[in-house]
Amino acid sequence: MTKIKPFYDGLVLGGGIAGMQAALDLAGQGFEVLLVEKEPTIGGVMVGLNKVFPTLDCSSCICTPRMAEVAHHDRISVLCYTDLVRARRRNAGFEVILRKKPRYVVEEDCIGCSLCELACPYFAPHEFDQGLGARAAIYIPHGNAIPQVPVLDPDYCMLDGNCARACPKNCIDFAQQAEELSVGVGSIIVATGLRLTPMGAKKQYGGDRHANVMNPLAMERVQSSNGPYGHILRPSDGKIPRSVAYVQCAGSRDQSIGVPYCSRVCCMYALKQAIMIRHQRHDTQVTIYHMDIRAFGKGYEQFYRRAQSEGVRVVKAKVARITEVENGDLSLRVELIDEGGRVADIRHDLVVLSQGTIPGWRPEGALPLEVDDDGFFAIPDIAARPANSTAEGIFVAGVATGPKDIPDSIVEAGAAAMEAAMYLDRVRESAGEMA
Amino acid sequence: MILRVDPSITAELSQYGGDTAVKCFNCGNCTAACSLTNQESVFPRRYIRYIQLGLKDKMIGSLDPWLCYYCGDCSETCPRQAQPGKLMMASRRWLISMYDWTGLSRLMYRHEWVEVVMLALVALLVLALFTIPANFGFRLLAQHPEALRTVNLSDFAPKEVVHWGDIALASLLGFLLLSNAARMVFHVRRHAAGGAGWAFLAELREFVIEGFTQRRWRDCETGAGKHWLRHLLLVTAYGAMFCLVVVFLRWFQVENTSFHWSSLLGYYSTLVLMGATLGIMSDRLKKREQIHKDSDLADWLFVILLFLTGLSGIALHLARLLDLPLTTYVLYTVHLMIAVSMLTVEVPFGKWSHLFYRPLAMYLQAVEARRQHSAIPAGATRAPVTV
Amino acid sequence: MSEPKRDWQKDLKVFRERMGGLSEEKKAWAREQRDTLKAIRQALAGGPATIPQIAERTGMPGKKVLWHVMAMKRYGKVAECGQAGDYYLYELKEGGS
Repeated sequence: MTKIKPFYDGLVLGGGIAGMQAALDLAGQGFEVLLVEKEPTIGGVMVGLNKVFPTLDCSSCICTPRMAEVAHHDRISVLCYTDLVRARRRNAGFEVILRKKPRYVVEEDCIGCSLCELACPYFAPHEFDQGLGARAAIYIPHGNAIPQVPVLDPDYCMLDGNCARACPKNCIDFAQQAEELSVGVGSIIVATGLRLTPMGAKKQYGGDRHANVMNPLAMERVQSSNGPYGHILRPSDGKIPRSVAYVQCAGSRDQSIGVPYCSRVCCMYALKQAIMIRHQRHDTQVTIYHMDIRAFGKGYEQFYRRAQSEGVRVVKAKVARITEVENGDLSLRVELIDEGGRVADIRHDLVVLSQGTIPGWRPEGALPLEVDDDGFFAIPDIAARPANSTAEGIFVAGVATGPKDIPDSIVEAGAAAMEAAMYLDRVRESAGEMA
Repeated sequence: MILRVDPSITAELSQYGGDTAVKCFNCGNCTAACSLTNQESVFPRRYIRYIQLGLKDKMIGSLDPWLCYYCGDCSETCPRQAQPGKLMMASRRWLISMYDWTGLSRLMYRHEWVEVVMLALVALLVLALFTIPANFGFRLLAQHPEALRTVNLSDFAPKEVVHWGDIALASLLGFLLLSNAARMVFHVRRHAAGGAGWAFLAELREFVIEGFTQRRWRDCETGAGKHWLRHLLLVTAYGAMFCLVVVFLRWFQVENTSFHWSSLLGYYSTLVLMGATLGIMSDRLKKREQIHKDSDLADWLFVILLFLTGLSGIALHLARLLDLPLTTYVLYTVHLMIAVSMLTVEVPFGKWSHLFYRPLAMYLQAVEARRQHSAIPAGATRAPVTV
Repeated sequence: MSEPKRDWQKDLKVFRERMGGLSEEKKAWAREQRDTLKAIRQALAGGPATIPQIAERTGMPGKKVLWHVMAMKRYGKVAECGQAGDYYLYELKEGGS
């Protein structure tokens, strides 16, 4: 961990793939960058994904080198487990107040040996595995986490001191408290990413009630080799699912849950996960229920066809209701449009709700930015300056401005870094003229 | 198969209060969301498809809109906000006007003022009945001021006059309604396969039970119990009042302060009528449930007139018991103006007719189901679906 | 190296006070987790079993059993050892209890 300096050219909010790319691109142009991440590790959503579409490359294999590059970059400082309190304009830049949450571990001293985690006898739901797996009350977020430093979760800590007793470096620090930091920055790039639509958003689906109705990020973890089960199993009883359903538009394009827009990635991740299920379990049937398949990007339509040729069933029908039947199986009520409009109740072992994306963070006064009705950051000139926010000197990238996939987020991060660089240059030039 | 697409139908339907058909992209959520759909009844999406394509023949011959009680689950969850429930409601109005050979219904639904004018005309006719003839009504009063000493309805509105008026009105409305219903049956059965003769008899039970109870409404998932019960009470009140006025008038219409047991039935009807209509009006003002969100003038007029019928009935009753002759006579006239105009306009042409069409639709559907069922060899069942 | 050595036991005491001690709720949670793990270990004492089998032997819901077995597996106290129908078999690892 680098020491935090009093001034940076750029502050990047969010350590996901967009934020990391923006930080790298801005630092690559010679600027000093501070990357702030609210979670205990950088990597964002992408590092938890199993594969990326349409190439089926390993997601963390693409993400982790970037994480390492960010962490080791001479001109990038990383502050994890830190929230933005507020940023106020000062001259051409901003004065930023940050709040570093206590990890209860001294980062500089920790060697990432995990002995504290192994010494803790309690299990809590593991955030990285969407709660399907367990972790100790003190834990390193995951194998690829950066920094490889544990975090103690006071909600589950039984205060028995087992971790501190096991630590060979005596770096468990129960005295740690949240600390406020003040830094000056020349510009800000907001890359605060996404959250999924809540599982209970559509009450007819019972995503928050039925054990075997999963969110898509949980399915990514379940499919990952380092996932909670090590295999594709269903949560209610560890059964190998023989019939899996994907319910498309479960959290998007639905005015009734207040998310009218298309989340853009759900069709593709559902197809990808369906293919991966077929690869891992050749005899498991996968059915995708959809209103229409939106395969809009480079190579995406081909990917859609590939899924079908690999035995993924694609059925035009909007699922109206999911009911739990015996054994934790689920019954999906649909009208099968292509079969002459027949109403059917179809049974599956496991259901994935293709939840949509909603903004990961709302500024609520912390930043002088405007958001659109849907909560994503407003872009006044979306056609010509897609990375420029409503405030001068603040740029936006990735899903923070609206749903998008990984390639688009990376492109936008580059654009935001470029805009920030030009802004910093302009400020520098005019300061030079004044002097 | 060649379809003749007629885009004018979507525009036409919007004149009946359903302007969202074009929003639908046929995902089928509404059909699956509906708790009344099954192998036999598949709606509303299929019907909305007919609207979009303008398949008028299919629309007229379809029973789908009558199978819907407008719980609003489909509209609540429609991803396109195409308001399938509202479209079903508009389709019911459209169907009523298609069944109606006089064309009045069509005029009424397309132009709200027509209904108001029709109501006013009938009300004026009733007023004329009590002001023009010399041997009863207000002219009789004018000639015999002593008649104002005590309430004597037999002089003001002789039972024979009212009774035969009732019969004439009931016959006329019955004729209009039945002839329209006959057209409905014709359109529905026109393209149906034969061999349903026995089924027509066997399912008559369904018609009677459904007509009195609307029991299928209870299968709706949302708000069904409350709305169904209220509707049922309203129907019993209506039925009781109908019997009192048309069949038992000679006992029901009594003089000044005297009392007859049939008044008890009248009290029940009036109370239910007013309670239920007040409840409906308050729900419509609150607009909490889908079913109450899209009421237009025609819907409001129906409920308001029902309420006013009850209110004027009570007022009339009180005035008679207090022995206030002129007040009683005026209220009597007003009461009839409201009730007769409402019945004349609503029974054959308007909202009231659903009380007949809906059970008729259930009946026709049951007939068709029975016919199809008897066509399937015994023991053959539909295989359960597994994917 | 001039910094005084951290006294975690003293810090823990202060931390405990700041957290308001251990709530009854939290104690009950910990007790329940210990009992759950114990029950699962007992259920597996006789040999490998599937999640539904463990659930039947312990009288606990399958979802809860799966979650705890996977927790034990992650920390090396249980291992997967073959398959029975649509379910995997799990066994206790030596020294895992």
